[in-house]
Amino acid sequence: MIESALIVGLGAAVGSLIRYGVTNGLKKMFTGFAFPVATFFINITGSFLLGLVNGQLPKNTFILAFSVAILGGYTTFSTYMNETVQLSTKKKVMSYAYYLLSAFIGILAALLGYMI
Amino acid sequence: MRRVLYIFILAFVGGALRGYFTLLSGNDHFIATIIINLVGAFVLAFITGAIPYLIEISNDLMTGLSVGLVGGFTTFSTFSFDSINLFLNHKIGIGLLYVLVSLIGGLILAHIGTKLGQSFENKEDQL
Repeated sequence: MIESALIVGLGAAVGSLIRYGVTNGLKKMFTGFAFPVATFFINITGSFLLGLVNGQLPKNTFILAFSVAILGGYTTFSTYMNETVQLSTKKKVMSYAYYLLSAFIGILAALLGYMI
Repeated sequence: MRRVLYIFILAFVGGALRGYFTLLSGNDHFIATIIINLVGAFVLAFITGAIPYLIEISNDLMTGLSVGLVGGFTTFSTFSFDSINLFLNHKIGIGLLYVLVSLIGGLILAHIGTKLGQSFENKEDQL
C-alpha cells in the first residue's frame, strides 16, 4: 500500500509541475481576463484525459496507475473552489458560470474521454 | 528553480497522502476523495490568507505549499471520473450526492477558509 501511495505522490509531483507550467503559459496568453481560464482548461483537459486513459489502457497496470496519478496532480479541486470564492466578490455572474461550467463540462469531458 | 523544487517535493507529499487515504478507504474511495477535496478547499483558502501574517515565508515556498502540497492533494479529474463511473453503474442517487456534496461543501469550506484567513490580516491592521 505504501508503494502505491508513493506512485500517486510521484505522479502528483510531475502533474503539479505540468499544471504550474500550463497555468503560467495561459495566464500570459489571457492577461486581463477575469475568468480563470487556466484552471478551467486544466480541469477540463485533465478530466477528458482521465476518462481516456481509463477507457484505453489495460486495467491493473503500472502505466494506468501512473497516468491516473499524474492527472490527479495536474488537476486541482482546491484552486477551483478558491477561484470561485474570490471571483464571487468581484464578478458574481462570472463566478457562478465558472463554478457550474467547470463541473458540468468536466464531467461531460470525462464521459467523452471514456466513451471514445 | 527553487520554486520548481518546492512544488515537486510538496506535491509528492500531497499526492502520497491522497494516495494513502484513498487506498485506506478501499471500495469506498469516493468518500475519501470527497473528504480530501473538501479539506483541501478549506486549507488552501486558509493558508493563503493566514500564513503570510503568521510567519515570514518566501513566495517560492508559499507557491510550493499552495500549488504543490494542496494542489497535489486535491484532484478534480477523479471527481469528474468518479461521478460518471457512479452514473454509468446506475448508482444515480449516490452519483448525484457525490457531485452535490463535493460542489456545495467545497464552496462553503473555501468560503469559511477565506474568512478565517482574512481574520489574521485584520488583526494585523489593528496593531
